[in-house]
Amino acid sequence: MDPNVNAIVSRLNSGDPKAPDELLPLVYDELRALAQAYFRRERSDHTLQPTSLVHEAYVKLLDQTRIEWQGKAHFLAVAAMAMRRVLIDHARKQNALRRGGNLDRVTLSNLDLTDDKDDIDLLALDELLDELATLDDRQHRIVELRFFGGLTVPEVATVLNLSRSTIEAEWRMARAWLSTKLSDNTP
Amino acid sequence: MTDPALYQQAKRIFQTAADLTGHERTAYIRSAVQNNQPLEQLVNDLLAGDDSANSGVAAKLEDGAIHAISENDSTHPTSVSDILDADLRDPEQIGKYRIVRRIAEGGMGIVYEATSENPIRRVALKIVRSANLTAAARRRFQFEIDILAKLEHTGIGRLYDAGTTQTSSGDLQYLAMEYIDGVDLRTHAENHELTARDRLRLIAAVSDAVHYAHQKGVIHRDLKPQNILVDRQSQQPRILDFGVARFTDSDRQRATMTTDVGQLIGTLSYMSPEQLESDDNDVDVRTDVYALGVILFELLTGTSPYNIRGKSIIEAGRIIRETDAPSLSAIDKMFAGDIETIVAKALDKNRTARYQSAADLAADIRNHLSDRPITAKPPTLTTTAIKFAKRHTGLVAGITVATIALIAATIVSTSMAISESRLRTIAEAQTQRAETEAAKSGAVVAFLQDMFASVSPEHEGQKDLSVLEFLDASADQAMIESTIANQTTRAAILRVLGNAYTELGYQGKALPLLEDASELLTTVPDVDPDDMTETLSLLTRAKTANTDLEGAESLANAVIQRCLDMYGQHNLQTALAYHNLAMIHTEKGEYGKSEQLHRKALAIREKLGTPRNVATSLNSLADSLHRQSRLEESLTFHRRALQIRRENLDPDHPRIAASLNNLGSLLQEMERLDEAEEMLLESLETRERIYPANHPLIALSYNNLGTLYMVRRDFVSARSALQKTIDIHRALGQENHPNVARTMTNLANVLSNLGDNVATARMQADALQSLRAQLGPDHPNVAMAMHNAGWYQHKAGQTENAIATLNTATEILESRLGPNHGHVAHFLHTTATFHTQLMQYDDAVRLVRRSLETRKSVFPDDHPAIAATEHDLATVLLMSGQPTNAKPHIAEAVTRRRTTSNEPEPNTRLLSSLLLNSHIAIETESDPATLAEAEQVLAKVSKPNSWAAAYANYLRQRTSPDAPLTRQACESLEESEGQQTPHRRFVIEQCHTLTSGRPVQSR
Repeated sequence: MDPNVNAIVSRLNSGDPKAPDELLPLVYDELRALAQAYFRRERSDHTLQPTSLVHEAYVKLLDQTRIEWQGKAHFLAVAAMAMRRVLIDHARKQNALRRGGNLDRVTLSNLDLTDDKDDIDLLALDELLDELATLDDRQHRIVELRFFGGLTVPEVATVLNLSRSTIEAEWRMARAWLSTKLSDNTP
Repeated sequence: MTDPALYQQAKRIFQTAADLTGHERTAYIRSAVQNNQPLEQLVNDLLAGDDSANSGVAAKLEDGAIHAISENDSTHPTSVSDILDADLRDPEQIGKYRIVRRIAEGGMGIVYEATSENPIRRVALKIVRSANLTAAARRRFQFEIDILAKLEHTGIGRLYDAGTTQTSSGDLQYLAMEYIDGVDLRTHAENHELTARDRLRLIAAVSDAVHYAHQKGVIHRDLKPQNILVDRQSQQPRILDFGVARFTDSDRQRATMTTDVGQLIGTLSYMSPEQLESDDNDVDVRTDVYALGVILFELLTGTSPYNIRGKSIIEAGRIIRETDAPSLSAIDKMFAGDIETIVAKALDKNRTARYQSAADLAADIRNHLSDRPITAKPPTLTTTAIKFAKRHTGLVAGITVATIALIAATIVSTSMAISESRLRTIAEAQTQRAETEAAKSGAVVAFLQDMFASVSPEHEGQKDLSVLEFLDASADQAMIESTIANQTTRAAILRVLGNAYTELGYQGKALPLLEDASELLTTVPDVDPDDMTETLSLLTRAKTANTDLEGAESLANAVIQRCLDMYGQHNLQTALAYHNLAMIHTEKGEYGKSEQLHRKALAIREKLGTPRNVATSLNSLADSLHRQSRLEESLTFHRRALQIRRENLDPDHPRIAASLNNLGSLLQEMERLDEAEEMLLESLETRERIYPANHPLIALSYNNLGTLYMVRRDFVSARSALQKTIDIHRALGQENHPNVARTMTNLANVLSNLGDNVATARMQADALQSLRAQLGPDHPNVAMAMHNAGWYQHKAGQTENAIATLNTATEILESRLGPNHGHVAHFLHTTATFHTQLMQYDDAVRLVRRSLETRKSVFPDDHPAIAATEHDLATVLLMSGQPTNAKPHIAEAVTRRRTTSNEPEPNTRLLSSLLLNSHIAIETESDPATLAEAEQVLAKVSKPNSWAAAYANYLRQRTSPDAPLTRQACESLEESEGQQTPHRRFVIEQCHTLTSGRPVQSR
C-alpha cells in the first residue's frame, strides 16, 4: 500500500482542498492501467465493470485497515471523476480509430460487445454533464458520483455533506433531465 | 442550451409537481409557470423524463455505469461489486435491533453497531443486503450461521442470533454477533508499541483460537489483521467474520456451493498459493496456517511478504504463487534465527512443508519465547555443515578446519540465502585462513570445537542452533577473560571470530572483538608479530566499514609503517596494508591517493600474490582511475581483472559479476553502448542466479542497464529496468536510499519521453518525497527536484499546481542560495513560462524581468541565457499587448545573439529573434525592414514546413500591400512542425482574427 495515498485520503477527509488534485492523477493512472488491461482483453472475463475497476484501484492504493468509511467515500468521489475521464478518453479514442472522426459514437456496449439499444451514449452523456454543471453544479456532481463512481446515496451524502433526502431529490431531477436529453439525441 | 436561471426556476416547480398526479399536477404547473412558455416546456420535459424513470435510458442512469455496461452479467455478482452496490440505505431498525452506526462493509455485506432491548446488549449486526441476495448468497449466509453457532472460544467473536427481517426495500438477513470493543491487530500493536515478543505472543493466542475452530471442522479462509480485534478490556485477540469459512468435513457439493469457483475471496495478500489456484476443494487447515504466517510477518516487519501493490489481480496471484518471500532477517537482522525460521515455515508455498496445524505454529512460537528449541529446522550449522562436508569431501581436510570454514559459510547461507557456488567460495577462503590459524594454534580450533560440541545435537538432544547464535555464544565466551587462560590464544580466538563477523557483514559485532584482540596482544610479552599485524589489518577494515575513517586512516598508516619496519616493501602483508589505506582514501573521495596506493599494492601482489589478490588490486585501481575520469586507463585494468577472474574462478562467482558490472558502467560512460549492454546483461544474469530475488546488487545491475537504455533513448526498456530497480529497493524497505531517488528521477525522465505525463508527474513526486526524507525539506537538491516535479505537472496539464510547486521551490532555493543565483533565475523563468501558458501575462512579465536582472548580475556578459531571457521577455510583452515595451528587449536579444552566440551563424536562435523582431516592428508600425534580414537567414537554416517558414510567410503577408493576409497563411502556421507553444498559439489566433476581418484584440 502506498502510505502517501492514505495520507492524501485522510486530508481529503478533513476537507483539504488540494487533496483531490493530488489524488486524481494517481487514481486516474491506476484506473487507466486497469481499464486498459480489460480493453486489451487480458482478463478472462471480458466485461468491463467501471465500478469494479474503481474498487480494484481502491483495494490496491489504500491500506483499508486505516481508512474510515468516510475516507472511502471521499476516495470514491475522486475515483468517480477519474473513471469518467478514463471512459470518455477511451470512447473518444474508439471513435477516432473507427471512423477517423466523430461520425459514429461509441456507446457503453462497444466496450463489452453486447448489443443493447438502450445503452447510454457516453460522449453525449459527458457533454450533457458539462452542460448540467453550468445549470446546477450540485446535480452534476451527484450524477458523476453515482454513475461513474457507483457511490451509494449515503456515500454521496457523506461526500457532499448533504442530507440523503436532498441527494435523492436532486438525483431525481438530474436523472429526468438527462434522460429527456439523451432520448432526444437518440435517433 | 438551457439557461441556468430557468433551470433553477424549473427545479422548484418540478420538485413539487413530481409528487402530484393528473389534474392536480396540471393545475399546479399552470399557476407556477405563469405563462412562461420555455419554463413550462422544461418542466414538462423533466416530468416526462421522470415518469419514464424505470425504463430505458433513465433506468440505465439509475443503475450507474456498472449495470449499464454489464447488465446481463448476473453470473458475476462478485464481492467486489457488492460493496459498491448502488442502492442500499442504512436502516434505522432491523428486527429487534436498533442501528447505532455503520462500522464497516466487506465482501459479504455491511456491519452495523446496534443495540437490543431484551436482553439489553450491544451487538455487531452483519447484514446481507437484499438486492444481490442470490440463492448462493443465501446458502452462504446460512452456513455462516451454522458455523458460528458451533464456535465458543475466548478467541472468537460469539454469535448471538440470526434471522431474516422484512423492510421496505425487501428481505434482509442478519447476524447478531458479540460487539467487541477494540481495535484491529495491527493498530493495537502500533498503539501499544508492542515488542516483537508481545507480537509473537499475540499470534500464538490467535493460533490457539484458529486451532480450536479447526478442531470443530471450520476453516476461516479469510484471516487477516482486520478480521482480528483485540479486546480493549481483556487484551485478548478475537477473530471475527467466519463469512467464508466452511466445514472441513463437508462433502464436495457443499464445498462448491459455498463460493463460486474462481471467485476471489478475502484479501489477496493473505491468500495461500493453493487458494490462488482457485480450486476451493483444495483448501485445508494449512491454508489458515499460511495466513497466520503472513499476519505474523506483517506484524513483525510492518510490510507484506509480497509486494503486490499496484499489480493486477492476475499478476499479484502470480507473484504470490511463484516468487519467494524475503526472509525476515533480510528486512531486519534482529529476526535472524528462530523467528525467521518459524515465519518461513508457516509461509512455505508447499503446504506439506508448513506447520501442519495452527497448534504446531503456536507451540513453536512459545518454544522460542521460552528459549526452548523450536521444531522448525532452518539450514543450521549442524544440518548444513554436515551436508556440505558430505558433498565436498575433498575440501574438508579435517573436522578442525572444516568447522571454522563452515561456520562462516553457513551463516551466509542461512542469512542471505545465497547459492551453493557462493557458499563454496566463502568456505574456500575461510578454509585457507583456518588452515593457517590451525597451524598456529591448535588451542583456537579446540575452543571452537568445544563450543561446537556443546551445542551440537549429540551433546544436547534435539537442540539446533543457528550459526549466528553459535558465533555469538562463542564471542560471549571469548570476551570473558577467565574463560581462556592463555591470552595469546584468547586474542587469536577473538581475531578469528572478528574476522568471521567481518566477512559476513556484521561489522558492528566485529569491531569490539578486534579491538579487544589488539589491546590484548600489546600486553602479551611474547606476542607473535604476524598475529599482531593481521589483527591490526582486520581492525582497520572493521573501522573503515564502520565509517570511522579518521581512526581507520591513522591505524592504517601505523600498520604500513609496522609492515615496512618488519617485513620491508616486498611482502604481502605490506601490500594488504597499502590496499586497506587505499580503500579509506576512496571512501574519503581522495582518488589520486588511492590510485597511488593501489599501484604499490599491485606491484607487490603481481610478484608474490595469488591471482585473486592481483585481480582485486587491478579492480580497485581501475575503480580509482574511473572515478578520476581516466576512462581508457581504467578500461585496461578492468579488462585484466576480469580476465584473471574468469581464468581462476567459478563462472558464477560474484566477483566476475562485479567485474562485468564495473566494465559495463565504464563502457557506457565511454559511449560504447553495445559492449556495455553485453557486460551489464551478463552481470545481471549471474546475479539473478546467485542472489535472492530482492538483492541490492541486482537492483544496481537493473539501474545500470536502465541508465544505459536511457542514454540509448530506448525508453521502453529503460522504463522496465528502472521500475524493477525501484521495486527491489521498495521490497527491501529502502525507498529513501539516495540511489533510489536518483533512479526515480531517471524513470520520471523516461516516462516523460514516453509521453506518459501523468505517470511522470507521479514518479517525480515519489522522487521528491524520497529526497525530502533523505535531505530534509530545505535542501537545494529538494528544490531542484521540485522544479522538475513542477515541470512534469505542467506537462500533465496541471499548470496551476506547477506554479505553486515552483513558487515553493524558488522560496527554498532563495533561502539557501540567496536571491542572486543562476538557479533562482532559472526557476523564475520556468514559472514565467507556466504563467504564459495560462495567459497570466502580468505575472509572466514580472518574473522574466526578475530572472533577467539576476542573470545579468551573475552570468558573464556573453552568456547565451541572457539573450534567451531578453528574447522571452520580448515575447511575453508582445503577447500581453505591449509591443512598444518589447522593442528594446528584442533588439538586445538580436544583438547579443549576433555577437555572443557560440553557435556558428546563421543559427536558428538568431532566426527566431529576427522573426520576433519583425513581428514587433509590425505591431509598433515601425520599419519592418528587419524582415528581409530574417528571410535571408531563413533561407539558410530552415526547412520549408517549419514554423519559422510559416511565421515568416505570415509576417510577409502582413507587410506586403499586394499580397494580403490569407487563411492559407494561418493554416500553414497551424500545420507547421514543432512543439506547440503559447507564442505559437498567440500568433495563430492573431492570424485568424486578422483574416476574419475583426480587429486585433489588444489587452
